[in-house]
Amino acid sequence: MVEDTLDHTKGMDPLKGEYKPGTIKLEEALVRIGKLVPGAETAVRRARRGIVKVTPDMKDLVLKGLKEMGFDHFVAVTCIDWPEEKRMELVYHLWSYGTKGIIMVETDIDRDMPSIGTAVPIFRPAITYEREIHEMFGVDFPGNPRLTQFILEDWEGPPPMRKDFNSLMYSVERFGLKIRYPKSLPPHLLDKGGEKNG
Amino acid sequence: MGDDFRTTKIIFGPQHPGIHGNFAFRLELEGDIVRRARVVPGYLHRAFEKLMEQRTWMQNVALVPRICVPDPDVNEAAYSMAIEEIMGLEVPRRADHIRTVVLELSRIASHLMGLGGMGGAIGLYTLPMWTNGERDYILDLFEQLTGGRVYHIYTWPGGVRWDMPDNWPRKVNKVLDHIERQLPSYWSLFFESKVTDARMVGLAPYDPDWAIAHGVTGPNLRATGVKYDIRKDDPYAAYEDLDFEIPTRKSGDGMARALVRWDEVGQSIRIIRQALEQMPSGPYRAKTPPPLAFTVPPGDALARIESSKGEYNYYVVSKGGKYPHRVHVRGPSFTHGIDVLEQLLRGYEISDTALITATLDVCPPDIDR
Amino acid sequence: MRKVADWASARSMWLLWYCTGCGAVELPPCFTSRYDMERYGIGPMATPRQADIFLITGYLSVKTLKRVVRSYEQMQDPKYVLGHGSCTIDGGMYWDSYATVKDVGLYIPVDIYIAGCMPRPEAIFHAFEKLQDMIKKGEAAGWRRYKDNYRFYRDNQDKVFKRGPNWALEEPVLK
Repeated sequence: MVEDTLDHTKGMDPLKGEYKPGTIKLEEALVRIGKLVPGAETAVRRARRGIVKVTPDMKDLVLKGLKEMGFDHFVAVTCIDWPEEKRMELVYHLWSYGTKGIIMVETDIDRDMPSIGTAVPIFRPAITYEREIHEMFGVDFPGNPRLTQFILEDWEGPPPMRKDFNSLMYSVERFGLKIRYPKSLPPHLLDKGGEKNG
Repeated sequence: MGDDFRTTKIIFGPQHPGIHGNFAFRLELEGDIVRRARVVPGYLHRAFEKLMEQRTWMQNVALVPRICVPDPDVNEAAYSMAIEEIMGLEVPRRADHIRTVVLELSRIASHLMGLGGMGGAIGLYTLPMWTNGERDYILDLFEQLTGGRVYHIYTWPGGVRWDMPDNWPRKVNKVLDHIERQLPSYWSLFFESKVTDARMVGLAPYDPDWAIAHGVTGPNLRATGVKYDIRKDDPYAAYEDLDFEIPTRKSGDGMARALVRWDEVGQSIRIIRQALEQMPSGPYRAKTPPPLAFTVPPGDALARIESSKGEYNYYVVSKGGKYPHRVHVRGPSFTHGIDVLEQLLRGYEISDTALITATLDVCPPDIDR
Repeated sequence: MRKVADWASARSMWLLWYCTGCGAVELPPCFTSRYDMERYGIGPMATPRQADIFLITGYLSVKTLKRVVRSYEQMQDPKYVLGHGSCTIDGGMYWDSYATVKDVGLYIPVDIYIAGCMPRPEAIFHAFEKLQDMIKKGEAAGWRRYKDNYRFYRDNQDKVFKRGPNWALEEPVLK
């Protein structure tokens, strides 16, 4: 067995192996972000979960501020479609190794022409999440260098994860699916004119 | 570019013995060395997130394990934990301990298959022959507990579906004894071989700052020395009551990633034995609405679980009613398999492509969902 | 002479190595030490040019179906297809998904369907024994059906994916 020649543990506490020992608590981080960003609403959901709600133009300020406070692990970004409220919601989940807590940053964008600036210069992992949201929901992220075809191939329909797209009727037309027990299905899916709301 | 005749573009396609699962690469090669790599996912796309919005809350428990094929219990547990957080359900302690045993058995099975995959990528086919044989004894245990070998549909919101059989803990201990007796032969077969050292030491190393900046989690991050594990930092199930360590390594290369997985098998055996000894008595399910009329109040929750491949996150949004509004599944291979892999493959030979993918333990189903 | 050739080929079948779906997780137990497949004379084969059996393990997404058809057409006669799992019969669990095909028998000819989600290794071996019997009797003729009814299969395939002269080596930008 060859010994490890590379050693990355030099800057760490040898007894605990902690990457960046925690300095601030989650509530303190929320208070600071509330002061830094105008119009931000903060809340503590439970232990180790906090929420910040901002407008889309403040998103870069919030993400940069949280990254400087130690929230440097980008977990995911989720897109949620709210058709009756005519908005789409983007939720950025960030984790801090020192504080050991999650902060979810929520913003709302317009549903008809959805577009928001990219988070890639601040957090590199966002590049793949934004690519997927662009393909599945149709949200544009100007500045993202990789908005290319991802999972679907030769797809000619509307963005499939939107609530307007009825995948059951698509299967009936395209693949010849036969519906045997219509009473067991959600009623809004069988509406042949397409879904009105989700 | 001027050097069009020096590079060849190939598709390292889905039908290939070096590919784990259904996955493709577009490689630009100069001789044998990869200059640029692009990953092509999407061959396993089933539109889970769309399907989950069209099935009731309880029907999704049957749909969800298919997202990660080698390690399916993690999905059921994370989905159940997110719903329990929205509803404010308190899971009984016996159910927590049973969930811990099931999750750790699934972790051992997945690590054995992953180590076998690394052996297969080197050419040492004896290792997958042995480890898949041991994994089959664990699948037998699952069949005795839940009725299914691979997909269990056992953990659901509120607890688990039924209690363990009375003689099941004795059988689990027998299988764990057998695996512990076989571990030294795997060590001498795989880790003491000079071929493994030549191929895996120094293979695609990275340091902790690069790893965290690119979203690497799980054993791949612990191979660089960062002692981060959701079971200790954001605990769930019965892990707060159990005593175990988080193994780490220092160098962050292919051999370190394999050794971290090896150590984790030993730690998992320790966790299972403790959980079975300390198993509290009591109910195995909390009181929930009946499955056919299961409704969840409005709200949202993020549930996080440490799986054998990395960090699994489930973000569940409920609008009230019988169907979920949005379920977002974030698997570990979403970051490992695309951006990280494309950068790590550069500069290595084409024969190392399959090996780097195996040491990162990339599982294509949870990229495409 | 045909009978001797059938008897011999039933005993040495090569399985194309392509894990098309989630049913492929029951293949390592079949290949490895517990349910050793090699005692039946079945082994894995890397290239479709020399393979006999195509095991479609589980669902087929539309993107995979295009590659499966291409691999199937590269295999040489006689060739046999086994549909493994309920998803090959009528869509299985993903019956209302926009990305999976529902009935594989519309796109390529299937000789034996194995039901289950997912089928145990014993069920796979039962199917292989049945396939051996069918070959010896001359009943496994999916490859002849493909050639005789090519227009039927080709029309169904064209409804679902487009055939192109070669695949783009760079990804196209969306919109």
